[in-house]
Amino acid sequence: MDLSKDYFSNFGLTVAYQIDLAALADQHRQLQQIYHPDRFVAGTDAEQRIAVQTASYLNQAYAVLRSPVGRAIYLLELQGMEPLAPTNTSMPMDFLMQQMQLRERMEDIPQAADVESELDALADALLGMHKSLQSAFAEAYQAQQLGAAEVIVRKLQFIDKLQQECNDLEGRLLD
Amino acid sequence: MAYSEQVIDHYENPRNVGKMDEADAQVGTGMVGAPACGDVMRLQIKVSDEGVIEDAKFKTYGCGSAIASSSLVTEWMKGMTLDEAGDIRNAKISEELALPPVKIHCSVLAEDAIKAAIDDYKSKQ
Repeated sequence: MDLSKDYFSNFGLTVAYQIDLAALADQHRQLQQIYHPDRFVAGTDAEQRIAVQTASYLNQAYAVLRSPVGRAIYLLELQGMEPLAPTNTSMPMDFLMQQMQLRERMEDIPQAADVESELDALADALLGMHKSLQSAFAEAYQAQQLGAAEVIVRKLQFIDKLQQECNDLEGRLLD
Repeated sequence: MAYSEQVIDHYENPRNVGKMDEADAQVGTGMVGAPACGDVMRLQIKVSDEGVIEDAKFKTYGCGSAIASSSLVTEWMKGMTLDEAGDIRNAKISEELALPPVKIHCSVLAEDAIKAAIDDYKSKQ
């Protein structure tokens, strides 16, 4: 396996946003078996080192490809872009306002009368936004509108973080 | 990761948290965000007729370093002219708070929020 090639090629996939996740998982399982370091215990040092490197590459690649956000970021990185550059802090104003509102809403949930239904409603809203951003990214990427695609990825990343925090909050409040 | 004492102080006792009326012509609002960590920062300044920042407020959703960076700059900005505030650089913020390299972007966020607030104020005049 040529580790300098892109993740998609090494998993036998076309470079695209929409991929067959079941095929990806199958391919990952097969490649893991072929390159499992346990199979090289009798091999030379070099063979063992390559097996470890390959196994770690496969796990990294699988984690990136199966994540809707990770895959989107990776596609733009393949185009030489850096969508999450920390020096780029400007986002569309209406989006940042909405982020503030969502954060405020999440902050108020612990004091709500019905914590569970408020959490569910927020989680649903975030899921809806996540899905529509995924479709928007797929369209923009397909049309090679990379600038637009980059803004969408950045939004997606914000929503993704909020989803994680919403999950953490649910864990704390409903345990 | 260990936070410096200065960060913890601002995080536990944030200065000037709040909101001003965005529609007020004397108020400039700057909003910025860092996708990598999902931080969102709102920084507002109230400017006198003489061009001096009379008051500053912030609201930041993010890590301790992002909150401390915005809290610190609201303290600094009060009493400054717009030009002086516009000269605040992230290096000065990160130095004051002893931010580690991985948290430098939090001070970049604060610097950009100041610029955005000043720009917003100027666009209203």
